[in-house]
Amino acid sequence: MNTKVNNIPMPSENEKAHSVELIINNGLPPRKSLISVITKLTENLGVKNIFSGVEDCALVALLLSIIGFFVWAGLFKSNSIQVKCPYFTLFTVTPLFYLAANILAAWKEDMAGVTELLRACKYTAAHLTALRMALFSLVNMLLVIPSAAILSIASDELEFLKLLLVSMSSLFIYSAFTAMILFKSAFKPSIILPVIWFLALGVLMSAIRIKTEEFLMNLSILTFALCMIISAVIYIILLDIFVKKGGKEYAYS
Amino acid sequence: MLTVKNVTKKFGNFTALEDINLEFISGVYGLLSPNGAGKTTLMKMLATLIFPTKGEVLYNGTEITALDEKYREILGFLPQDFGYYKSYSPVQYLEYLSALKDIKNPKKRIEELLEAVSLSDVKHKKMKKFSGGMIQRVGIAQALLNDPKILILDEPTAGLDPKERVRFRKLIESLSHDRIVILSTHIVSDIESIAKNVVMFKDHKLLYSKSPDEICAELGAANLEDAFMIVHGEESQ
Repeated sequence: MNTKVNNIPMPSENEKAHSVELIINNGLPPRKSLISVITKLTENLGVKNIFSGVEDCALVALLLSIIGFFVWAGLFKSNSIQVKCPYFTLFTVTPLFYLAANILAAWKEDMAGVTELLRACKYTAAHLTALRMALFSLVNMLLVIPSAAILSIASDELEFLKLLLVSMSSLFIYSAFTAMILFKSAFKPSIILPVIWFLALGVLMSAIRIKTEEFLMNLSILTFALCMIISAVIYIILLDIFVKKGGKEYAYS
Repeated sequence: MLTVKNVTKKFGNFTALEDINLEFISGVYGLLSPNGAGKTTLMKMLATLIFPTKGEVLYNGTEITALDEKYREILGFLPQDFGYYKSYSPVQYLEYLSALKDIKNPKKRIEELLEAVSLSDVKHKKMKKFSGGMIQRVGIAQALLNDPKILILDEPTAGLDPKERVRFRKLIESLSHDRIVILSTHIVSDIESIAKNVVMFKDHKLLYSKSPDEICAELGAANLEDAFMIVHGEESQ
Protein backbone atom coordinates (compact mmCIF):
# COMPACT_ATOMS: atom_id res chain seq x y z
CA MET A 1 0.00 0.00 0.00
CA ASN A 2 1.25 3.48 -0.82
CA THR A 3 1.52 5.23 2.56
CA LYS A 4 2.07 8.64 0.93
CA VAL A 5 -1.41 8.49 -0.58
CA ASN A 6 -2.91 7.60 2.79
CA ASN A 7 -1.16 10.47 4.55
CA ILE A 8 -2.99 13.25 2.74
CA PRO A 9 -3.46 16.02 5.31
CA MET A 10 -7.17 16.36 6.08
CA PRO A 11 -8.78 19.68 7.04
CA SER A 12 -9.30 20.29 10.72
CA GLU A 13 -12.80 20.62 12.21
CA ASN A 14 -12.35 24.41 12.30
CA GLU A 15 -11.36 24.52 8.63
CA LYS A 16 -14.36 22.37 7.72
CA ALA A 17 -16.73 24.61 9.72
CA HIS A 18 -15.23 27.71 8.07
CA SER A 19 -15.69 26.25 4.58
CA VAL A 20 -19.28 25.25 5.33
CA GLU A 21 -20.02 28.75 6.66
CA LEU A 22 -18.48 30.30 3.53
CA ILE A 23 -20.61 28.13 1.24
CA ILE A 24 -23.76 28.90 3.20
CA ASN A 25 -23.10 32.65 3.27
CA ASN A 26 -22.49 32.71 -0.47
CA GLY A 27 -25.64 30.69 -1.03
CA LEU A 28 -27.91 32.89 1.08
CA PRO A 29 -30.32 35.04 -0.88
CA PRO A 30 -29.60 38.76 -0.92
CA ARG A 31 -32.23 40.83 0.85
CA LYS A 32 -34.66 42.35 -1.62
CA SER A 33 -34.74 46.10 -1.94
CA LEU A 34 -37.92 48.18 -1.81
CA ILE A 35 -37.77 48.83 -5.56
CA SER A 36 -37.37 45.15 -6.48
CA VAL A 37 -40.21 44.14 -4.14
CA ILE A 38 -42.48 46.87 -5.49
CA THR A 39 -41.71 45.93 -9.09
CA LYS A 40 -42.07 42.20 -8.56
CA LEU A 41 -45.21 42.43 -6.44
CA THR A 42 -46.92 44.88 -8.77
CA GLU A 43 -46.06 42.58 -11.66
CA ASN A 44 -47.35 39.48 -9.82
CA LEU A 45 -50.44 40.94 -8.22
CA GLY A 46 -51.53 43.60 -10.64
CA VAL A 47 -52.78 46.92 -9.30
CA LYS A 48 -56.22 45.47 -8.54
CA ASN A 49 -54.87 42.67 -6.35
CA ILE A 50 -52.50 44.92 -4.42
CA PHE A 51 -55.57 46.23 -2.66
CA SER A 52 -57.17 42.79 -2.40
CA GLY A 53 -59.55 42.67 0.52
CA VAL A 54 -58.90 46.30 1.42
CA GLU A 55 -60.18 48.07 -1.72
CA ASP A 56 -63.17 49.37 0.24
CA CYS A 57 -60.78 50.89 2.80
CA ALA A 58 -58.99 52.84 0.06
CA LEU A 59 -62.33 54.06 -1.28
CA VAL A 60 -63.55 55.13 2.17
CA ALA A 61 -60.28 57.00 2.72
CA LEU A 62 -60.65 58.70 -0.65
CA LEU A 63 -64.21 59.70 0.16
CA LEU A 64 -63.14 61.03 3.56
CA SER A 65 -60.41 63.12 1.93
CA ILE A 66 -62.75 64.56 -0.69
CA ILE A 67 -65.38 65.41 1.94
CA GLY A 68 -62.63 66.87 4.15
CA PHE A 69 -61.40 69.02 1.31
CA PHE A 70 -64.88 70.38 0.52
CA VAL A 71 -65.56 71.10 4.20
CA TRP A 72 -62.32 73.01 4.41
CA ALA A 73 -62.96 74.77 1.10
CA GLY A 74 -66.38 75.79 2.46
CA LEU A 75 -64.81 77.21 5.62
CA PHE A 76 -62.20 78.94 3.49
CA LYS A 77 -64.86 80.47 1.25
CA SER A 78 -66.97 81.59 4.22
CA ASN A 79 -63.98 83.53 5.51
CA SER A 80 -63.93 81.61 8.80
CA ILE A 81 -60.98 81.30 11.13
CA GLN A 82 -59.15 78.86 8.84
CA VAL A 83 -58.68 81.55 6.22
CA LYS A 84 -56.24 83.21 8.58
CA CYS A 85 -54.01 80.15 8.59
CA PRO A 86 -54.43 78.26 5.31
CA TYR A 87 -50.87 76.90 5.23
CA PHE A 88 -51.07 75.54 8.76
CA THR A 89 -54.47 73.95 8.15
CA LEU A 90 -53.25 72.45 4.90
CA PHE A 91 -50.17 71.10 6.67
CA THR A 92 -52.41 69.46 9.29
CA VAL A 93 -54.97 67.83 7.00
CA THR A 94 -52.86 66.83 4.00
CA PRO A 95 -52.04 63.25 5.15
CA LEU A 96 -55.74 62.48 5.76
CA PHE A 97 -56.03 60.04 2.84
CA TYR A 98 -52.73 58.32 3.63
CA LEU A 99 -53.45 57.84 7.32
CA ALA A 100 -57.07 56.77 6.83
CA ALA A 101 -56.21 54.28 4.08
CA ASN A 102 -53.35 52.70 6.04
CA ILE A 103 -55.24 52.41 9.29
CA LEU A 104 -58.43 51.10 7.72
CA ALA A 105 -56.48 48.53 5.68
CA ALA A 106 -54.55 47.33 8.76
CA TRP A 107 -57.77 47.20 10.79
CA LYS A 108 -59.56 45.17 8.11
CA GLU A 109 -56.72 42.67 7.79
CA ASP A 110 -56.73 42.28 11.55
CA MET A 111 -60.48 41.70 11.56
CA ALA A 112 -60.24 39.15 8.73
CA GLY A 113 -57.39 37.41 10.59
CA VAL A 114 -55.24 37.08 7.47
CA THR A 115 -52.04 38.59 8.84
CA GLU A 116 -50.47 35.35 10.15
CA LEU A 117 -51.11 33.66 6.86
CA LEU A 118 -49.64 36.54 4.84
CA ARG A 119 -46.56 36.63 7.04
CA ALA A 120 -45.70 33.08 6.00
CA CYS A 121 -45.91 33.78 2.24
CA LYS A 122 -42.84 34.47 0.07
CA TYR A 123 -43.95 38.07 -0.32
CA THR A 124 -45.06 38.80 3.17
CA ALA A 125 -47.46 41.13 4.90
CA ALA A 126 -44.51 43.49 5.39
CA HIS A 127 -43.82 43.61 1.64
CA LEU A 128 -47.48 44.15 0.91
CA THR A 129 -47.78 46.83 3.60
CA ALA A 130 -44.74 48.67 2.23
CA LEU A 131 -46.11 48.52 -1.31
CA ARG A 132 -49.53 49.75 -0.22
CA MET A 133 -47.96 52.55 1.82
CA ALA A 134 -45.94 53.66 -1.20
CA LEU A 135 -49.05 53.63 -3.40
CA PHE A 136 -51.16 55.42 -0.79
CA SER A 137 -48.47 58.15 -0.68
CA LEU A 138 -48.66 58.40 -4.45
CA VAL A 139 -52.46 58.76 -4.43
CA ASN A 140 -52.21 61.33 -1.63
CA MET A 141 -49.66 63.27 -3.73
CA LEU A 142 -52.06 63.22 -6.68
CA LEU A 143 -54.85 64.55 -4.44
CA VAL A 144 -52.63 67.36 -3.19
CA ILE A 145 -51.97 68.84 -6.64
CA PRO A 146 -55.57 69.80 -7.57
CA SER A 147 -56.25 70.88 -3.97
CA ALA A 148 -53.29 73.29 -4.04
CA ALA A 149 -54.33 74.51 -7.52
CA ILE A 150 -57.94 75.20 -6.42
CA LEU A 151 -56.79 77.06 -3.31
CA SER A 152 -54.29 79.20 -5.20
CA ILE A 153 -56.99 80.10 -7.75
CA ALA A 154 -59.43 80.94 -4.92
CA SER A 155 -57.03 83.35 -3.25
CA ASP A 156 -54.49 85.67 -4.85
CA GLU A 157 -52.43 85.70 -1.66
CA LEU A 158 -51.72 81.97 -1.77
CA GLU A 159 -48.90 80.70 -3.90
CA PHE A 160 -49.49 77.39 -5.72
CA LEU A 161 -45.91 76.19 -5.40
CA LYS A 162 -45.74 76.98 -1.71
CA LEU A 163 -49.10 75.30 -1.04
CA LEU A 164 -47.87 72.26 -2.92
CA LEU A 165 -44.58 72.09 -1.02
CA VAL A 166 -46.26 72.61 2.37
CA SER A 167 -48.60 69.71 1.56
CA MET A 168 -45.85 67.43 0.30
CA SER A 169 -43.65 68.19 3.33
CA SER A 170 -46.54 67.36 5.62
CA LEU A 171 -47.30 64.13 3.75
CA PHE A 172 -43.72 62.88 3.83
CA ILE A 173 -43.11 63.90 7.45
CA TYR A 174 -46.23 62.00 8.45
CA SER A 175 -45.30 59.03 6.22
CA ALA A 176 -41.78 58.88 7.66
CA PHE A 177 -43.21 58.76 11.19
CA THR A 178 -45.60 55.99 10.09
CA ALA A 179 -42.72 53.97 8.67
CA MET A 180 -40.74 54.52 11.85
CA ILE A 181 -43.62 53.20 13.94
CA LEU A 182 -43.74 50.04 11.81
CA PHE A 183 -40.56 48.84 13.47
CA LYS A 184 -42.14 49.05 16.89
CA SER A 185 -45.52 47.59 16.05
CA ALA A 186 -44.34 44.74 13.80
CA PHE A 187 -46.15 45.84 10.65
CA LYS A 188 -49.39 47.52 11.62
CA PRO A 189 -49.72 51.22 10.98
CA SER A 190 -50.55 52.43 14.45
CA ILE A 191 -53.57 54.46 15.53
CA ILE A 192 -51.32 56.31 17.98
CA LEU A 193 -49.60 58.43 15.34
CA PRO A 194 -52.72 60.11 13.87
CA VAL A 195 -53.95 60.81 17.39
CA ILE A 196 -50.64 62.47 18.30
CA TRP A 197 -50.50 64.30 14.94
CA PHE A 198 -53.96 65.84 15.18
CA LEU A 199 -53.72 66.43 18.92
CA ALA A 200 -50.36 68.24 18.70
CA LEU A 201 -51.31 70.27 15.65
CA GLY A 202 -54.77 70.92 17.11
CA VAL A 203 -53.23 72.30 20.31
CA LEU A 204 -50.90 74.48 18.24
CA MET A 205 -53.86 75.56 16.12
CA SER A 206 -55.95 76.63 19.10
CA ALA A 207 -53.10 78.16 21.10
CA ILE A 208 -50.74 79.89 18.70
CA ARG A 209 -52.22 79.41 15.25
CA ILE A 210 -51.45 82.93 14.05
CA LYS A 211 -47.83 82.70 15.17
CA THR A 212 -47.49 79.27 13.60
CA GLU A 213 -49.08 80.50 10.40
CA GLU A 214 -46.75 83.48 10.31
CA PHE A 215 -43.84 81.16 10.89
CA LEU A 216 -44.93 78.95 7.98
CA MET A 217 -45.59 81.96 5.73
CA ASN A 218 -42.16 83.37 6.43
CA LEU A 219 -40.40 80.17 5.51
CA SER A 220 -39.05 80.23 1.99
CA ILE A 221 -40.09 77.88 -0.79
CA LEU A 222 -36.56 76.50 -0.73
CA THR A 223 -36.94 75.54 2.94
CA PHE A 224 -40.15 73.65 2.20
CA ALA A 225 -38.55 72.00 -0.83
CA LEU A 226 -35.64 70.84 1.36
CA CYS A 227 -38.02 69.67 4.08
CA MET A 228 -40.01 67.69 1.52
CA ILE A 229 -36.93 66.09 -0.02
CA ILE A 230 -35.37 65.15 3.33
CA SER A 231 -38.57 63.67 4.74
CA ALA A 232 -39.25 61.80 1.47
CA VAL A 233 -35.73 60.33 1.51
CA ILE A 234 -36.08 59.27 5.17
CA TYR A 235 -39.45 57.71 4.36
CA ILE A 236 -38.07 55.71 1.43
CA ILE A 237 -35.03 54.57 3.43
CA LEU A 238 -37.25 53.41 6.31
CA LEU A 239 -39.56 51.50 3.97
CA ASP A 240 -36.53 49.94 2.28
CA ILE A 241 -35.11 48.78 5.64
CA PHE A 242 -38.52 47.41 6.57
CA VAL A 243 -38.70 45.39 3.37
CA LYS A 244 -35.08 44.17 3.59
CA LYS A 245 -35.33 43.06 7.21
CA GLY A 246 -38.16 40.84 6.07
CA GLY A 247 -39.12 38.12 8.52
CA LYS A 248 -37.00 39.53 11.30
CA GLU A 249 -39.42 42.36 11.83
CA TYR A 250 -42.47 40.22 12.36
CA ALA A 251 -41.21 38.13 15.16
CA TYR A 252 -41.60 39.73 18.49
CA SER A 253 -40.29 38.05 21.57
CA MET B 1 -33.79 18.37 7.50
CA LEU B 2 -35.49 20.79 9.88
CA THR B 3 -33.81 21.02 13.26
CA VAL B 4 -35.08 22.61 16.44
CA LYS B 5 -32.02 23.13 18.60
CA ASN B 6 -32.20 23.95 22.31
CA VAL B 7 -35.22 26.14 21.74
CA THR B 8 -36.86 28.01 24.58
CA LYS B 9 -39.69 30.46 24.06
CA LYS B 10 -40.80 32.87 26.74
CA PHE B 11 -43.60 35.40 26.70
CA GLY B 12 -42.64 37.75 29.49
CA ASN B 13 -42.28 35.55 32.57
CA PHE B 14 -44.27 32.71 31.05
CA THR B 15 -42.25 29.90 29.51
CA ALA B 16 -44.23 28.41 26.62
CA LEU B 17 -41.51 25.96 25.58
CA GLU B 18 -38.33 24.96 27.35
CA ASP B 19 -35.16 23.57 25.84
CA ILE B 20 -36.77 21.73 22.94
CA ASN B 21 -34.65 19.59 20.62
CA LEU B 22 -36.28 18.01 17.58
CA GLU B 23 -35.32 16.81 14.14
CA PHE B 24 -37.73 16.51 11.24
CA ILE B 25 -36.97 14.56 8.07
CA SER B 26 -39.59 13.59 5.48
CA GLY B 27 -42.79 12.06 6.82
CA VAL B 28 -45.70 13.02 9.02
CA TYR B 29 -45.00 14.35 12.52
CA GLY B 30 -47.94 14.69 14.83
CA LEU B 31 -47.78 17.17 17.68
CA LEU B 32 -50.12 15.67 20.20
CA SER B 33 -50.77 17.52 23.43
CA PRO B 34 -53.60 19.17 25.30
CA ASN B 35 -54.40 22.82 24.59
CA GLY B 36 -51.84 25.26 25.95
CA ALA B 37 -48.95 22.80 25.86
CA GLY B 38 -46.94 24.83 23.34
CA LYS B 39 -47.87 23.21 20.00
CA THR B 40 -48.93 26.46 18.35
CA THR B 41 -45.89 28.29 19.71
CA LEU B 42 -43.60 25.70 18.14
CA MET B 43 -45.48 25.84 14.85
CA LYS B 44 -45.33 29.63 14.74
CA MET B 45 -41.57 29.43 15.26
CA LEU B 46 -41.25 26.91 12.44
CA ALA B 47 -43.29 29.27 10.23
CA THR B 48 -41.04 32.27 11.15
CA LEU B 49 -43.91 34.13 12.79
CA ILE B 50 -42.14 34.29 16.14
CA PHE B 51 -38.56 33.72 17.19
CA PRO B 52 -37.12 31.53 19.90
CA THR B 53 -36.03 33.36 23.01
CA LYS B 54 -33.10 30.92 23.14
CA GLY B 55 -31.82 28.34 20.67
CA GLU B 56 -32.31 28.16 16.93
CA VAL B 57 -34.35 26.57 14.15
CA LEU B 58 -32.26 25.32 11.23
CA TYR B 59 -33.16 24.06 7.79
CA ASN B 60 -30.38 21.93 6.35
CA GLY B 61 -27.99 23.57 8.80
CA THR B 62 -28.96 27.20 8.17
CA GLU B 63 -31.07 29.44 10.41
CA ILE B 64 -34.50 29.69 8.86
CA THR B 65 -34.66 33.45 9.35
CA ALA B 66 -31.37 33.84 7.50
CA LEU B 67 -32.84 31.87 4.61
CA ASP B 68 -35.68 34.41 4.62
CA GLU B 69 -37.81 34.10 1.45
CA LYS B 70 -35.93 30.98 0.32
CA TYR B 71 -37.37 29.26 3.37
CA ARG B 72 -40.86 30.70 2.92
CA GLU B 73 -40.78 29.53 -0.71
CA ILE B 74 -40.74 25.93 0.48
CA LEU B 75 -43.14 26.48 3.36
CA GLY B 76 -46.85 25.74 3.46
CA PHE B 77 -48.62 26.99 6.56
CA LEU B 78 -52.13 26.69 7.89
CA PRO B 79 -52.57 28.81 11.02
CA GLN B 80 -54.88 27.73 13.81
CA ASP B 81 -57.27 30.55 12.96
CA PHE B 82 -57.34 30.63 9.19
CA GLY B 83 -58.28 34.13 8.05
CA TYR B 84 -60.03 34.96 4.80
CA TYR B 85 -61.97 37.71 3.11
CA LYS B 86 -65.67 36.89 3.26
CA SER B 87 -66.49 38.55 -0.04
CA TYR B 88 -63.93 36.43 -1.91
CA SER B 89 -64.49 33.08 -3.59
CA PRO B 90 -61.97 30.26 -3.00
CA VAL B 91 -60.58 30.78 -6.50
CA GLN B 92 -60.11 34.53 -5.99
CA TYR B 93 -58.47 34.01 -2.62
CA LEU B 94 -56.17 31.24 -3.84
CA GLU B 95 -55.16 33.35 -6.85
CA TYR B 96 -54.32 36.21 -4.52
CA LEU B 97 -52.24 33.95 -2.26
CA SER B 98 -50.56 32.36 -5.30
CA ALA B 99 -49.32 35.80 -6.32
CA LEU B 100 -47.93 36.39 -2.83
CA LYS B 101 -46.26 32.98 -2.98
CA ASP B 102 -44.82 33.88 -6.40
CA ILE B 103 -46.45 30.93 -8.15
CA LYS B 104 -46.52 31.19 -11.93
CA ASN B 105 -49.70 30.18 -13.79
CA PRO B 106 -51.51 28.89 -10.71
CA LYS B 107 -54.92 28.22 -12.31
CA LYS B 108 -54.35 24.51 -12.94
CA ARG B 109 -52.87 23.99 -9.49
CA ILE B 110 -55.82 25.78 -7.88
CA GLU B 111 -58.28 23.57 -9.79
CA GLU B 112 -56.43 20.42 -8.67
CA LEU B 113 -56.32 21.49 -5.05
CA LEU B 114 -59.96 22.51 -4.92
CA GLU B 115 -60.79 19.10 -6.37
CA ALA B 116 -58.61 17.42 -3.74
CA VAL B 117 -60.45 19.19 -0.92
CA SER B 118 -63.88 18.71 -2.54
CA LEU B 119 -64.62 22.36 -3.14
CA SER B 120 -64.80 22.36 -6.94
CA ASP B 121 -68.57 22.81 -6.90
CA VAL B 122 -68.40 25.99 -4.87
CA LYS B 123 -65.15 27.40 -6.17
CA HIS B 124 -66.79 30.62 -7.39
CA LYS B 125 -69.12 31.09 -4.43
CA LYS B 126 -68.38 33.77 -1.84
CA MET B 127 -66.78 32.31 1.27
CA LYS B 128 -69.15 34.16 3.60
CA LYS B 129 -71.67 31.40 2.89
CA PHE B 130 -69.23 28.61 3.77
CA SER B 131 -69.35 26.38 6.84
CA GLY B 132 -66.38 26.11 9.20
CA GLY B 133 -65.33 22.84 7.59
CA MET B 134 -65.40 24.33 4.10
CA ILE B 135 -63.27 27.28 5.23
CA GLN B 136 -60.81 24.86 6.79
CA ARG B 137 -60.58 23.02 3.47
CA VAL B 138 -59.78 26.29 1.69
CA GLY B 139 -57.06 26.70 4.31
CA ILE B 140 -55.63 23.27 3.58
CA ALA B 141 -55.68 24.01 -0.17
CA GLN B 142 -53.80 27.29 0.26
CA ALA B 143 -51.13 25.59 2.38
CA LEU B 144 -50.47 23.22 -0.53
CA LEU B 145 -50.41 25.87 -3.27
CA ASN B 146 -46.64 26.01 -3.64
CA ASP B 147 -46.17 22.25 -3.32
CA PRO B 148 -44.20 22.89 -0.10
CA LYS B 149 -41.28 20.85 1.14
CA ILE B 150 -42.30 21.74 4.68
CA LEU B 151 -45.99 21.65 5.46
CA ILE B 152 -47.08 23.02 8.83
CA LEU B 153 -50.71 22.54 9.74
CA ASP B 154 -52.04 23.83 13.04
CA GLU B 155 -55.14 21.83 13.98
CA PRO B 156 -56.06 21.18 10.34
CA THR B 157 -58.96 18.85 11.14
CA ALA B 158 -60.84 21.34 13.31
CA GLY B 159 -64.34 21.68 11.89
CA LEU B 160 -64.01 18.80 9.42
CA ASP B 161 -66.68 16.10 9.48
CA PRO B 162 -65.59 12.44 9.89
CA LYS B 163 -65.69 11.78 6.14
CA GLU B 164 -63.56 14.81 5.42
CA ARG B 165 -61.12 13.86 8.16
CA VAL B 166 -60.56 10.49 6.54
CA ARG B 167 -60.12 12.19 3.18
CA PHE B 168 -57.68 14.66 4.74
CA ARG B 169 -55.64 11.88 6.33
CA LYS B 170 -55.32 10.14 2.98
CA LEU B 171 -54.27 13.37 1.30
CA ILE B 172 -51.61 14.05 3.93
CA GLU B 173 -50.34 10.48 3.80
CA SER B 174 -49.97 10.69 0.03
CA LEU B 175 -48.04 13.93 0.34
CA SER B 176 -45.72 12.87 3.12
CA HIS B 177 -43.26 10.70 1.21
CA ASP B 178 -41.03 13.47 -0.01
CA ARG B 179 -41.72 16.28 2.42
CA ILE B 180 -41.92 17.17 6.08
CA VAL B 181 -45.49 17.36 7.31
CA ILE B 182 -45.95 18.69 10.83
CA LEU B 183 -49.48 18.76 12.11
CA SER B 184 -50.78 19.57 15.52
CA THR B 185 -53.90 18.09 16.98
CA HIS B 186 -55.43 16.95 20.21
CA ILE B 187 -57.44 14.30 18.37
CA VAL B 188 -55.45 11.07 18.54
CA SER B 189 -57.12 9.39 15.56
CA ASP B 190 -55.93 12.20 13.27
CA ILE B 191 -52.36 11.02 13.50
CA GLU B 192 -52.34 7.50 14.90
CA SER B 193 -52.31 5.76 11.55
CA ILE B 194 -50.25 8.21 9.51
CA ALA B 195 -47.67 9.75 11.84
CA LYS B 196 -44.12 8.53 11.57
CA ASN B 197 -43.35 10.26 14.84
CA VAL B 198 -45.54 11.64 17.57
CA VAL B 199 -44.23 14.62 19.49
CA MET B 200 -45.63 15.07 22.99
CA PHE B 201 -45.03 17.93 25.39
CA LYS B 202 -45.59 17.94 29.11
CA ASP B 203 -45.13 20.96 31.32
CA HIS B 204 -43.83 22.84 28.27
CA LYS B 205 -40.95 20.39 27.85
CA LEU B 206 -40.47 17.72 25.24
CA LEU B 207 -41.64 14.37 26.55
CA TYR B 208 -41.56 12.14 23.47
CA SER B 209 -40.58 12.31 19.84
CA LYS B 210 -41.03 8.69 18.86
CA SER B 211 -43.16 6.46 16.70
CA PRO B 212 -46.63 5.67 18.06
CA ASP B 213 -45.57 2.04 18.62
CA GLU B 214 -42.49 3.04 20.60
CA ILE B 215 -44.51 5.40 22.79
CA CYS B 216 -47.14 2.74 23.42
CA ALA B 217 -44.50 0.15 24.25
CA GLU B 218 -42.71 2.48 26.62
CA LEU B 219 -45.90 3.39 28.47
CA GLY B 220 -47.40 -0.08 28.30
CA ALA B 221 -50.42 1.36 26.49
CA ALA B 222 -52.67 -0.57 24.14
CA ASN B 223 -52.91 2.32 21.69
CA LEU B 224 -51.95 5.96 21.29
CA GLU B 225 -55.15 7.18 22.90
CA ASP B 226 -54.34 5.18 26.04
CA ALA B 227 -50.79 6.52 25.94
CA PHE B 228 -52.15 10.06 25.67
CA MET B 229 -54.43 9.47 28.65
CA ILE B 230 -51.57 8.02 30.70
CA VAL B 231 -49.50 11.12 30.05
CA HIS B 232 -52.17 13.80 30.04
CA GLY B 233 -55.16 12.15 31.67
CA GLU B 234 -55.50 14.60 34.54
CA GLU B 235 -54.80 17.67 32.39
CA SER B 236 -57.37 16.66 29.79
CA GLN B 237 -60.19 16.17 32.26
